[in-house]
Formats: sequence, structure tokens, C-alpha cells
Amino acid sequence: MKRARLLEQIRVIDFSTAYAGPYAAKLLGDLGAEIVHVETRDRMDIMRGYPPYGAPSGPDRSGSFASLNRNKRGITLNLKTPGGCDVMERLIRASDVLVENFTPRVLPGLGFPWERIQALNARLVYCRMPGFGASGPARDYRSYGPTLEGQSGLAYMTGYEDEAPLRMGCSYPDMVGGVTSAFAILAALRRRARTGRGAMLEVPQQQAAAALTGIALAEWTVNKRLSGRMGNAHQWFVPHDVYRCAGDDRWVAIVVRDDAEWARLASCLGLPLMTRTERAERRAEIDRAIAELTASRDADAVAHELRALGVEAYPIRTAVDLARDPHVAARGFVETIDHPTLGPRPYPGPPWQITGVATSPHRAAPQLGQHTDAVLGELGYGADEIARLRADGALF
Amino acid sequence: MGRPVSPSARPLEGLRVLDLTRELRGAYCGRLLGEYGADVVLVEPPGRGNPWRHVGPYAGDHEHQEKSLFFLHYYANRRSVALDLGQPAGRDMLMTLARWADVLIHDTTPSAAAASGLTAAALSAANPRLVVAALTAFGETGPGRDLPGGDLIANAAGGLAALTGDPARAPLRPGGDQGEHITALHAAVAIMGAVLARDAGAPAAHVDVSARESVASVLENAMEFALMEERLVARQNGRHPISWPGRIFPCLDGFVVISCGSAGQARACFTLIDDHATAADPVLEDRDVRRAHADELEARLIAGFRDRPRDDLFHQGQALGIPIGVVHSVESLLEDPQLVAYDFFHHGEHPDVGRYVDAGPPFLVDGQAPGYARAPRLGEHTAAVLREAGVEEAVRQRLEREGIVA
Repeated sequence: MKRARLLEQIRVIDFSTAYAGPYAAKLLGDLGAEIVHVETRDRMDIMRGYPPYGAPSGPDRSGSFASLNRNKRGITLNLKTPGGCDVMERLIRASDVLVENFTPRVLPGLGFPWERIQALNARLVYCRMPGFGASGPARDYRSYGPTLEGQSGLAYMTGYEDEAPLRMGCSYPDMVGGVTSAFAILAALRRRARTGRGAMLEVPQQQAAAALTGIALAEWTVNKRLSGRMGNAHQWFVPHDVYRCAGDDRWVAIVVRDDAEWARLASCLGLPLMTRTERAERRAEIDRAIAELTASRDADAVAHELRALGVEAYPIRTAVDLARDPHVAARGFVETIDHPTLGPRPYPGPPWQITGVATSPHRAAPQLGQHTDAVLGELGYGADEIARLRADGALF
Repeated sequence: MGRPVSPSARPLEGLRVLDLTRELRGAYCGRLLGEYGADVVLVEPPGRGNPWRHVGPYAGDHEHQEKSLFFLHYYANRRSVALDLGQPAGRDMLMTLARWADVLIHDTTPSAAAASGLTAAALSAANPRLVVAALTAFGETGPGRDLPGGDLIANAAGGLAALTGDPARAPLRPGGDQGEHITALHAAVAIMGAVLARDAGAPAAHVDVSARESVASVLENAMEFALMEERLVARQNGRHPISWPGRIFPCLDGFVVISCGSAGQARACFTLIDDHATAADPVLEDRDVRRAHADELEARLIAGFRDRPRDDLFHQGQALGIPIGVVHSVESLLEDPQLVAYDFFHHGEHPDVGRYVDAGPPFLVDGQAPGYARAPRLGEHTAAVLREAGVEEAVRQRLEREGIVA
């Protein structure tokens, strides 16, 4: 229903694990590209071991894996065997994109340095997404999304006012690395369409996240000031916060960007007209007045009334709220997909609607090695050869 | 050892983007497309210009429309045309620019866009090959399509604020407008998909990106828990909900952050603080058991890290195989040896702001960086862009006298 078939002719090798790489390939799949996710049985995608679990046991029970890898076909390949390397060579020759998120030594160590990849297919767009970089003093250091929140400067900006930094509620740099890589790949495919040349893209995940530090660098280098952690407050807009409402953990977000919006909110609060500077000076008092107004009220009702006045307001929603939200449902953000072991289950995303192009339903994520025979067949291997490769351990 | 800046690292050269954005999500999307070579033209009203020119902080705390640090950062890598869309002749000129462009990006609600004449039908009539992308708070369909919102609303509505912070206190917006950034990134992906398909002969698509859904797409696995099991992932006060340890720890001169995926890594954390008894404790073997003992185990780590310098913990921890990172302040980010080795930061200069540092490119192409252009002054490129769009000089001068362009 929502898989926009914009990239129908594009074939992608997803040689990645966990979150960042698989998310990049997932987005390309949502746009219609054909994705082959490559795993090895003794080092399968680690997301296969992450909850929620939808089936009793085994590698095909993870809801997280199923969500990140829908629309993909899956093969198992052991690159430590000559036969496995032969399959990888043919895959590289037959594909448009190779995306991987291992540390910089892994693919060259398996016999596939960039020079060889390029020699096999000069039109290939190769996207590597090392944590720190393919070079530099930290190139061999380990990183996961949460550690990159620190390394990028983002964690330092998150937290309650004047308290210690806090991790965000998701391993944000993983997702950032994934979306950034999907964009990089598509940009390089556009260059290829004009020049015939492939590309070597390097998305150091630390840098992809550090690119999102907003105005912090300019504030420091121009004004010699660190905004620091501000809770939900804003550098300029006042008020700008989240206020408690009636019920269990129910809150409403309220933003005033200018004096006209303040005039409308002030009338509800019984507070006078104030300039931005005056509001900034009296922020604590304003926040208390709003909190008094919202404390015993329903979050949706408050948000509705304030929006009717022209004030930006919306209740805080949890993921469970989103799963039941009529607007989200009307948009078709959630789609039910039948999976051989998990059964029919609802999956989120992508966060876009694309009109004017053909679409098709999303397909279920692959069971471990589900498409090995089919993909090898397309690469020109006969049934006998596939059986021999399997006997040699090349398809383990 | 800095990276060379090269035009071949600008794969979007020749792509023309008409930018009508007024929110940070649209602004960042234009910045990113421009960074990689697209010719992004911002249309602003004459006089006051884009609304972010009037949002502080300002350089030197001097309230001036060329000195907003938000505008400086978010509107880099593009040109500016001052054009009054409130007048019919201004709207006609917008359609001339729409014929010049490959992509149009905007971020207003469907009703506001229609009121300003920015309908799909009008744009498509002007240029059937134009890819139109709307980056709205809630998307262009559904009952909530006309609700406005910026970063705080996107984080509230998209579920990330509810996941961030202390469960006993208020939900928290992540620092630095991340709800807007993640929307911009997703939009850039969808736009490029539409551009590639159009160039290959498909009809020009209309791209509708929801900020709320972009945020909901990056909740790690909270949406999957909610959809598949109707289970709520609660706020964890900075702890990872599954991996342990997965949090920030204070140390002598700052903070470090650790995220362990395996028992071996968890054991190494105690080796790092010379607590060999805990390092050998069977309690560390299973992920769920580790997390069940989080409070007592973390107390030992906190005590062990407290008097150790940040960089020592980082290097010694990495040597032990621990996924550990430093928590950079802006100051220390600028000195990060890895980022310095990559020559990551842009050193900009703006006629009204002076010298400043801006974030560098998120990726390299063939080992090269794409370059950087400072944010434009209001109307800095009006004459040049109108000329390129085929508007005669005499016509431009007349429009300038009439106050339609500036």
C-alpha cells in the first residue's frame, strides 16, 4: 500500500547489522529498491536477538528485526570460504548499491577492499558507515548509538535545566546514521545517472550526528556562551514547555513564538501583555500560571482550546497513544504485514506519503537465509552449484 | 590532514530547489540539499524576510535581521530572493521560479499553503516536472493535517518527549531541535527518490512528509512494542531500556557514556575500575539479570569513575573493548581529535556576524568534503536568480519600484 515504487530498478546489497545500516536499506526499500540482506549464521544480524518477541524461539521471532528489515530478501553467506566470496563478487557485479556498517577493517579483511569493489563494478555506490571514520585516531574504536550521543555533542544539550546531561529516549545517532546514509546513496545515484560513475561514500556516524548540533557551535564561537541544558525551554521563545494535566503522566506542550500569540494566551491566564524580554525575565511566574491552568484539566481539551485561540499546543503522546491515534490511522502510517512466524502484525512507517507514483504492499522481513536459493539462482548459479556451495559451508 | 573540498563531492549540482520554508525542518532540508550541491533559492518577503531572522540569540546580542544565529546556521548553503507573495505580481513571479526549479520545498499546513496559492494544481500547471515536497507537522492528510507545530510539538506528538527524561518528572525534548532535523533528513531521502524517478521518466511526485511520523520512526523499538504487544516503553531517566550498562556516568572532569551489548563488555566495565570481583560475578552473564541489578551495579561504577579523568576512561575503556564515549561539551567537541583529523568543522565568515564555526558535512563523497556557503543577506541574490529564471532586467526593475521584489 505504501511502498512507493520510485527506485524499481535499483538493487541494494545490505551487508549490515543492528540498526544504522539496516535502517538505511529499509528506507531505500520503502522507495521501491530491491534489497538483499546478507547475513552469516554464526554472526547473524544482532537485531534478531532483540525484543519484542513475537514467536516462541529462534532467529525469526524478533519484532524489531522484522520491522527494520521488511521488504528485504535475506541470504546467508560465509565470506571466509572461497565459494562465499564468489557469490559476493557476483552480487557486487549485479548490484547498484552496497551498504555496510562494520568497523573499517572488516570488509577489506574479508577480501573486499574498496579498490576491489570498484574494479568489480565501477558503477557501484558503496556506502560505509563507520562509527568514527575509516581513518583518524579513533578509527578502530567501538561505538554504539548511545556512545555517539556523547561523542557528537548531542547528549550534552539534553537534560533538565542545570542538571547532568541525559541520554535521549532512543539511540538517536543510529537512526541519524541510517537516514543520512540513505540520502547520501540517493545523491550519489543521481551523480551516477549523469556521469556513469559509482561512488565511495563514507558516513562517519559521529559526524552525521555532530552535523545536528544546530546553533550550539555558532553560539559558542560568536558569543562565547554555552546555552547548556534548558529542559524544555527554548533559547528565545517564552513560554515553551511541557505542563502537567489531569490523569496519569498526562502533559501538554505549549509554545508561544511572538507577542501576538502571547496576547492570546495571556488573556486565558489573566496575565498582562509582555514583550519577549519581559516574558523571559518572568518565565518562572508564567510557567507556574500555565501549570495552574492545566493541572486539573484534560490534556486534549487544553490543547484544543489553546489551538482555537491560535496558540501552538499539543498533548504529549506515547508510542501506545500513537498506535491508537485516529489521525495516524487515517494517514496509513501503520500497515499490517503477515510474517511466516510472527503472523499478521502492525508495522510503522515510512513517515511520508508519495503521490503520483505506483505503490505496492510492504513485504515481510526475511527468515534467516530464506531467499538464498532464489537470489543465487538469479546470479546464475544452477541447483547443483548451490548444493555444492552449501555442502562446502559457503552458504552458512 | 584535512579533507580536500571538491565539486565532485557535490552530487546534487545542477538540481534547482525553490525554498519556501519557514520552519527549521524545511530550513535544515534546504541546508542539506545545498551542502551537497543543489542550487537552493530561498524566497523571503521583502522588508522583514524569513521569520528566523527575528529569532535570537543574535551575534553580539544585537537584534538585527542579518545576525540571527538560527538563520546563520539553518539557512546556510543557499541564495536569497526577496519577493512579496502577498501581491498578485509576486505570486506570478513565484510561478516563473517554479518553472525554473526541479524541486519546491515548503513546510506550511495544507490550508495555509492553499491560501497563499501554493496548491498542487497551480504548481503542476506551472511546471509538470516539479517535485513538490511539503514538510508539515502532521502530514497533509488526516483530520489533524492543519495543526501547526515546530520542534517541541513534533517531539510531543511523535512520542520522543514521552520517552526522554525521568518517569517521575516532565517528559523532555531532546536538545537542539532534533524533531525538526530528523524530519528534514527523511524528507531529503523521499525528495531524492522522487527526483531520481522523475529523471528516469516517471511523473513528478508530490512528497508529503510528517514531522510527527518522522519522530515516531526513530523511537528505536518503542513503536514496535506498542503496535505488536500494546506495551509501553517508559521513560528510563537516561538509561537504555534493554542494554546494560547503557547510560551517562559522571567522572572527574565531565561525563562518559557507556552502552554494552554483551556480558564481556559489561565485565570489562568493572575491570576498568579494578573491581575484579564484580567483573567475575555470574550476575553479569545475562542481559536481563544485569538490568535487574542495575542500581547496585551502577553504584559501584559511579564510585569507580568519580575520580578518574574522562579521557583516561575513554582510551582505557576502549582498549578493554568497552563501547564507551566521552560526553562532549561544545568546547571539547571542537577539539575532538577524530573530528579535527577529518577537518570536520566549517570556519565561516559573514559580513554582519564576523567569524564563526559551523557544523561540518555529515558524509564524504570519494573521500572529499562538499564545501560550504554562508547564509545569504535578505535579497542578496534577487537580481541574479531572476536573470537566470529568464526575467528581463526591465521587468525586474519595474517590480523593484513596485516593491514586489527587493
